[in-house]
Amino acid sequence: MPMLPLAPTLRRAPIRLWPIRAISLLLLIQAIGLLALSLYLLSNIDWESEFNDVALSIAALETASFIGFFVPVAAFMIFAAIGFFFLWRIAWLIAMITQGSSLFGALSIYFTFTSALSQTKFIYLIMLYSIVLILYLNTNDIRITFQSKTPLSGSPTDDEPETETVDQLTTEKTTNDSLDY
Amino acid sequence: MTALITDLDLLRRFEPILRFTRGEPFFPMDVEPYVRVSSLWAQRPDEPAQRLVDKGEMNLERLASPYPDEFGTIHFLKAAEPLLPAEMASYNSHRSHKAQSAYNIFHPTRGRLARVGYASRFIDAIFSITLLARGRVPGDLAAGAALLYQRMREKQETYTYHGRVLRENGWIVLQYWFFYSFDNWRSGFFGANDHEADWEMISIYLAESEITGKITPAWAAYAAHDYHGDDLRRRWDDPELEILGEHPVVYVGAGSHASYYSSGEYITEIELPFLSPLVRLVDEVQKFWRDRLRQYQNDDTQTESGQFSNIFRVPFVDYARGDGLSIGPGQEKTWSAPNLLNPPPRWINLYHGLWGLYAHDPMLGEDAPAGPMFNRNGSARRAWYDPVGWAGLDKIVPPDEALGNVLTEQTTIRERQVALRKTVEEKSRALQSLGTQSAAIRNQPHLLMLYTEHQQQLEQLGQAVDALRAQIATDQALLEALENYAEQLRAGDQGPVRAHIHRALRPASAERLRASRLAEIWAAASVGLMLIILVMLLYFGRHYRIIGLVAMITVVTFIEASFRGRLISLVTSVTIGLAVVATLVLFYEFFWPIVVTAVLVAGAYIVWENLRELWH
Repeated sequence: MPMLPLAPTLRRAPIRLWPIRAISLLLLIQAIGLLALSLYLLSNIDWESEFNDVALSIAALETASFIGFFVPVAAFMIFAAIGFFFLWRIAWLIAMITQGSSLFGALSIYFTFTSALSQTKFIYLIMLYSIVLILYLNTNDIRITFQSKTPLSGSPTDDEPETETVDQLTTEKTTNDSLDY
Repeated sequence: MTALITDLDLLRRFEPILRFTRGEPFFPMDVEPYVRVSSLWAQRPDEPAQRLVDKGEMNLERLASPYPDEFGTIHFLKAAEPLLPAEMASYNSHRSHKAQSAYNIFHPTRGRLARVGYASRFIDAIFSITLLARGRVPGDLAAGAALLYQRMREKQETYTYHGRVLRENGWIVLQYWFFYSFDNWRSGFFGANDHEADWEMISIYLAESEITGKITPAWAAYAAHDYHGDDLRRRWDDPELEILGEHPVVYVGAGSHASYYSSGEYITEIELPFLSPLVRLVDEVQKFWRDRLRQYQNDDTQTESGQFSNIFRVPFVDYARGDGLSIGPGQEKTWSAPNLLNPPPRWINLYHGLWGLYAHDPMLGEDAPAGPMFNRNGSARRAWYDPVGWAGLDKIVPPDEALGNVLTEQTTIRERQVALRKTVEEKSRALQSLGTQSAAIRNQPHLLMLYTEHQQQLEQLGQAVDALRAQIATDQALLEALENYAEQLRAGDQGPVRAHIHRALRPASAERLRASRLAEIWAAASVGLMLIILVMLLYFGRHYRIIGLVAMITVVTFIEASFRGRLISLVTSVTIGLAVVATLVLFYEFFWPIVVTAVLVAGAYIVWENLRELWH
């Protein structure tokens, strides 16, 4: 390896916080929506008569599955939203996993459920919302902010008056082992 | 005679230092002893190969003799012979003894399969299978070639290059051609191919001052596989170009003998011809994802050549570590007297055939190369007839001429501006004259024809004057830019050193090379293991094959992603895959509502834009 001068420390452009806060807000809205939907579906079933019967009806089983799957997902969404607010690096991965889970759940309902649940419009809304969030989470700026290996520095700028910094984001030493041409 | 000495002096003054990887068995040699131990063959279409000249009777003079033959005939040399089993055993025993020397031990680090994903491993398996079907250089021939070269080296240990000096576009080009008796990249270093005989080359571009006659090196270009153009060359002051005294350092790929500027391990992706449509398709999808949807693409998916990795290309590692033998001025071994190719000897010009075994490989990788002047198909090699254009240097003026060139350009543009202004003046007068006449006849009904004609002429002339004025304005901007550039040149600033490089080959970073032995074993065994489990599932567990298959793929994928530190990529890929399926479901369920909504949104946007314009 030729002796190359050490690369000057790369300084990232200051991070704009509002797109990240927007994700935080969108995740919160999604989580609240899923929890509200779970409550609504829960209230639609006459659980007293269901438990009096020999076996649960298909509708009750599928509703229970929906709640059992989506309530933990919503909880992780809230966790990811908090993570985005405080700029934790792990927040992006959790957000992506929750969106993948959400889509997996909605597609499973669409393809396998037989009760009225599979006919509701909610699952399409869940799909659409997740698709939009996945595209947003994968935009270049967002991913570079959360997954860049270059040292991050600077403070929030432009329209954001906060003095919050991004110290929480891991920084790595740049060496001339990996030349960036 | 003076010119000859000067050329030789130039070659010797800038001769390169070649650094090899440990375990490399072949080094640059003179073609003459190789040809002397070769036989010449002719391969006519649909006929067995026929020997034209026997071993021991061959020499460079005979090689240059004409061998007229029918169309489609391929002439080739054959030096090495496959070893007999006893010879092979003796060779292996001898080699293991010789391997005690540090220079002969090659340790592959992280294997190429551990650096790529499953799809690439499957394609690699297909590539290996194609080797059984297509023509290839047999393994015992590689051993035979190594033994032959070893004997020649023991007889007379010399390291020789073939030098050529030519002048083109104001540059003095020094070409150093290296001949190796064998390329054992596949059999020796897990590469893509083996072939008998190998020609490699580097070029150095010198600028000569017209006033002082001083010669200064300006650029170097190293040939690596089939790369060409701007990305090949480095400016003499580029820190990546390692120079000792006036000698550039070349790191030679183990077995492949490709030339690199930095030591390291390079991933080279090779495309199989029958998979080309799929390669194009994946490239286009990746481009759409990156450029149109403005989505992120991980740097980890980029190969060392700067390309984004494509699962349908087969990855190979070219080891150019530079930890083996070093040849050149002040090194462990030095160059013997070079073979001068000025003027080109007859064997260069007249022998169009291959320099080693013709292996009948339709993908050509296993066939020996032709000489420095020709490609395998007999066409002229660009690196020979246009070495300046080959390295993309044909648009660059030598440094000493650059300022003069800028001043000449400025003078030309100023002269053109004077002529243009004169033309604009004349045309403007004609335009005004026509305008006056036109105004005079505007309300004269009987002159309607003339008025219409005038209107047409006015429009044409107006457009012409407009184009001329635009040209003057552009020239003015160009003049200012040239003035700035001239200032820069006067200050001795040649501009950014790497601005011309779009995709530079770069060795794998230390981070990418780090992998546990377990990951290596997993990478090597996983594909075969998956196939075995698949067969067992189909045979023994038919009732559970779907669940079993999903479970197997999930487990294997997660193990793989964890080993390679690519959990994020896996999550991203799975999520995007689900998003694509969900999008298709939405389109299927709501096709017309989506179309209507899109039209409504477009309509609302147009209304909004127009209203905004009104308000402003």
